[in-house]
Amino acid sequence: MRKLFTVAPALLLVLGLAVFAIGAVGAQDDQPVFRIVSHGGAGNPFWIVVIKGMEDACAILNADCAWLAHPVDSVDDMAGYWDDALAANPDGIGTTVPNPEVIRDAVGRASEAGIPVIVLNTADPNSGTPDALDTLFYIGASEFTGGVSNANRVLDAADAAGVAIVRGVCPIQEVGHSGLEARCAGVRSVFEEAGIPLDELTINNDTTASAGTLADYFTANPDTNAAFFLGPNPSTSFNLYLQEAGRMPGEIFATTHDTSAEIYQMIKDGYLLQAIDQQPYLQGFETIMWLYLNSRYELAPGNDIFTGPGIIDGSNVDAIIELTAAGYR
Amino acid sequence: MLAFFEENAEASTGVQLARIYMVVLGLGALLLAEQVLAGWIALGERINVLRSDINFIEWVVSLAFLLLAAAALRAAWSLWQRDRAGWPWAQWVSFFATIFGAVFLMKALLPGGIAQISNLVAPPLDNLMFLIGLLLFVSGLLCYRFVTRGVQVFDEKVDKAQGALSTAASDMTPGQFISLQLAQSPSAGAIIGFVFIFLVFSFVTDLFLQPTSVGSVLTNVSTKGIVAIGVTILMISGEFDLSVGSMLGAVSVFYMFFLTEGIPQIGLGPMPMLLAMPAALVVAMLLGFINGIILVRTGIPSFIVTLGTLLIYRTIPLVAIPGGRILRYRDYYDEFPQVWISPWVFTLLALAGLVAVAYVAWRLLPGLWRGLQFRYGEIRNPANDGHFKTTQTIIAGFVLLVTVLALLIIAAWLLMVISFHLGRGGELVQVGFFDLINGRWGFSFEQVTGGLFSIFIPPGANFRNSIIWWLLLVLLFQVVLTQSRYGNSVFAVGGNPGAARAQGINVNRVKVMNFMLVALLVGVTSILEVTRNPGVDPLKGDGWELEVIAMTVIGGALLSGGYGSVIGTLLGALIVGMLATGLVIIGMNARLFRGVVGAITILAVVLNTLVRRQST
Repeated sequence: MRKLFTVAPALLLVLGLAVFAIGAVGAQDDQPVFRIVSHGGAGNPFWIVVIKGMEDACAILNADCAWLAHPVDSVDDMAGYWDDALAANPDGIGTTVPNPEVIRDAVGRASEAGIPVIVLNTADPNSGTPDALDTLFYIGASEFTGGVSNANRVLDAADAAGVAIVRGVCPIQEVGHSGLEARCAGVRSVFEEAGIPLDELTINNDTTASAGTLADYFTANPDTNAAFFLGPNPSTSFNLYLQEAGRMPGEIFATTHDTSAEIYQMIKDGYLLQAIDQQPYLQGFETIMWLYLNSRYELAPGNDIFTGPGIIDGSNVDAIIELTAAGYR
Repeated sequence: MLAFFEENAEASTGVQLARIYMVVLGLGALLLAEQVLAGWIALGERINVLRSDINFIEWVVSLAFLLLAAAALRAAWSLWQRDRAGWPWAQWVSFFATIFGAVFLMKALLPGGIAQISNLVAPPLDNLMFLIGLLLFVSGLLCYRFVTRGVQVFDEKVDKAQGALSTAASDMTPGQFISLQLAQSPSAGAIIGFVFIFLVFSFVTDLFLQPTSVGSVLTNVSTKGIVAIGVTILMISGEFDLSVGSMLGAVSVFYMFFLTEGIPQIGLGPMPMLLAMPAALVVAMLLGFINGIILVRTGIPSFIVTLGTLLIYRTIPLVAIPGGRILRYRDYYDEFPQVWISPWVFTLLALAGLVAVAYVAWRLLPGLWRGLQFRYGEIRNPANDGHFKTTQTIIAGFVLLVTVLALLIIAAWLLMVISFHLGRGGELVQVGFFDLINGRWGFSFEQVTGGLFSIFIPPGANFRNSIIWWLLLVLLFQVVLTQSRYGNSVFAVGGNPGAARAQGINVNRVKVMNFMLVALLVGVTSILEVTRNPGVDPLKGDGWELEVIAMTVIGGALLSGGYGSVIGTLLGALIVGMLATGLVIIGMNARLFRGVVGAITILAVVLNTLVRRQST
C-alpha cells in the first residue's frame, strides 16, 4: 500500500504530461476549436442529426469539434461537461439551456475569458430578462410556434371535414421539460381562443405502457377528437393504441413533433395530419458556422435564428424519407 | 341471552330485538334490491341512459342486497328455531350491513369522487342514498356490537368449561376471522390495499369495471408482473436485482436482431422464428448468470453488482441500434410472420382439455356428492350441539351444482372447437406468429376458436395472451415456492444463510439460479413486449426496475429476505396497474401518479409490518 503512495505522484505526473502533449498536438497552430454541450447525445435519434450537422460544418472549416453530453439524457451532467469544454480553451461554445442554473457559473467563466457562447435547440427561459445568461443568440425552433401551427392545422382539417373539435389532449412524455411544455402551451393558446378544452396527460417514453395510458384516457373521454403528440415514441404509442382499439383514420385529428419512420408511415396512412420538424441538422451546422464567424470576424445576426417549425405532411413526406435516410432530417 | 341457546330459557329482550332487526333488515334489503332493479335508485353513471337499462354496478348491488336479505332472513329463522348457527349468522349479517352502509354513505358524500373534490365544487347531497347508508351503518354497527359481545362471553364460558378447546371457525366473530386470515398471509397489506383501491375506483367511476378498463389494467401490468415474479423469488432469497429494466432492453434488442438481420459481425444470420425465442432466452439467462457469478465470486452486495450491470446492460441497446432510432419489424419485412397449423393440433389440444375436464370431474364430483349426502344426514342431528347444518347442506348442494355446470360448459366449448376444426375438412389454420405469442383475445383467434371467443370481448377492449402467460407463471412459481424442495431452500437461504448451509443447501448455487430465473422471466417478457408492438427502441424497459420492486414490496416481500409470496406480488402488480388506469379514468392529474404509488407502497408495507407484529 505504501509503495502505491510513492508511485502514485509519479504516475499522475506522467499521465498529466501525456494529456498535455495530446492536447497540444490536437490544438495545433491555427485550427479553430469548438465545443457543444448538450443535455442529450448519441443515444437519442434526435441528437444524431444535430451531431451530423456539427460534424459536417467542422469538416468544412477543418475545425476541432466535440459533442459533450450524457449519451441519453441528463440536464445535471451539463455542469461537468461545461468544465470539460472550458478546459479545452475553445474559440466558441454552443450549449442548450434546459436549466440555466446548472450552467450559470460556467457560462460566466466563459464570458470572463471572452469565449463566445451560442444557445442552440433549447432556449434560455429567462432570455430578455436581467436573469438571462450572457450568451449571443439562440439557434433553434420556436416550440411555441410549432404548437400553434399544429393546433391551427387540426382546426382547419376538422373544418374541411365538417367536424367540430369537441376536446383535445396533449400527452407529455417528460413532465417538466420546458421545451415540451412550450409545445403544449402553443396548442393551448389556440384552443383557448377557440373555446375548446384541452386536457393534459402524462405518459412516458415506454411505447406499450403509454399506449395503455392513451387507451385509459380515451375510455374516460370518448368525445376527444384532437390529439397533439410531442415526439416519436408517443406517436408510436398512438399508432399502437389505434391498432388495439381498432380506430379509423379521421376519427382523431392528430399531429406530432419531430420525425421517425413510424411518423412518416402514419402521415401516409392518414393517422397524422402533420409533423413539426425543427430541422435539427441546421441547429448543429449553423451553431458551428456562427461560432466561427463570431470568433474570427465578430459577426452576429440581428436576432435569434429559427430553424423551425418546418412542416412535414402528405405533400412532402416522400422527399423527406429520402433525406432522412441520408441523415439530414 | 346465551341461556336462550344453552337452556330452554325464554328469549330475552336482546334476542327479541335481534330477531326483529334481522327480519326488518331482510325485508329492507329485498326492497332495496327491488328498487335498484326497477331503476328507482340510480347508481353509477346514468347520464342519458334509460331507467330500465340496468348497468353493471346496479346488478352487483342488487345481487349483494338479495344475498344479504337471504342471510338476514336465515339468521332470523335460526334465532326463532334455537339453532346455534344463528349467532354467527347474525354477526356476519350485521357486519356486512355495516359495510354496505359505509359504502352508501361514501357514495352519497362523494358522488363524483376525487375528481369533484379537485374541482372544488360542492356536490349536491343525495338525500335518499345518505339516509339508506346512515340507517344501515348505524343499525348494523349496533347489532354487531351487541351480538359480538354475547359471543365473546360464550367463548370464555366454553374455555372455562372445556379447557383449551379451540373455537370453531363458525363461532369466531367476523373481526377475529378476518384478522386471523390476514395474519396467516404474508401479503395482508396487499390484500387490504387491493380491496380498498378496487372499491374506491369502482364506486367513484362506472368506467372502471368496463371491459376496456379491465383489459387495460391486466394487459399493461402483465408483462411487469412476470418480471416481478422473478424479483420476488430473488428477494426472498435475500438478493436484489436493479438491472431488470436494462436487461429487458438488451434482450429485446437481441430478439429483434435474431428475428430480422441476425448479428453479421459474428457471422450469425437471421434465425427461424421458432429458434429466435430460445436463443433470446439463452442470452437473457447468460446476463442473469453474469449478475449471479459476480455476486458470489466477489461478495459485493447485490445492490451494487446490479447497479453496475444496470448501466452496463443499457449500453447494449444504445450501441446496437444505429442512431438510437426505433427499430421496427416492418422496416425489414412488409408482413408479419404467419404460421400454418394443422387443425389436428387444435383438435388434439381440445381433446386433451376434455380429458383434463373428465379427470377433474372424476376427482371432484364423487367427493362433493358424498359431502352433500353426509351433510343432508346431519340436518338437525342432536349430536351437533345445537347447530342445524341446514345452510351448509344448501351451500354444498350449490357448490356441486355450479361445479357440474362449469365442467359441462367448458366441455361443450371444447366440443364446439373440435367440431369447428373437423367441419373445415383438414384445412390448415393460418395464425400470425406474433398473435400466437401475445395476440389480442377475440380478434387474433377467430381462426382457432371458430369465433366463439369474440362474443365475450367487446371491440376496443385490449386483452392479450400475456395475461394468460402471467397468471400461469404466477401459479407455477407459487407452487414451486411453497411446495418444492427448491422453494424451501430459497426461503432458507434468505432467512438464515448459515442454517441453510448447515442443512447442506448450496447457498451460492441457489442465488445464481435465482438470478438466472429473474433473467429468464425478463427474457419471456422481452419476447412478449417485442411481439405486442413489433419493434424495440433503445430505452425499452428504462425505469422498470423501480416499478417492479414497488410491486414486490407492496406484495409483502421483505427486503431482508426470507419472507414474501408470489400471490402477494400478483396483488401488488394489480394495485399498481389499477392506480395507473384508475387515476387516468377519474381525470386526476396524472402528474400525481408516482406520488400516489409511493404513498401506497409505504402504506402497504406499514400494514404488512403491523399485521405481522400482531400475529407473532
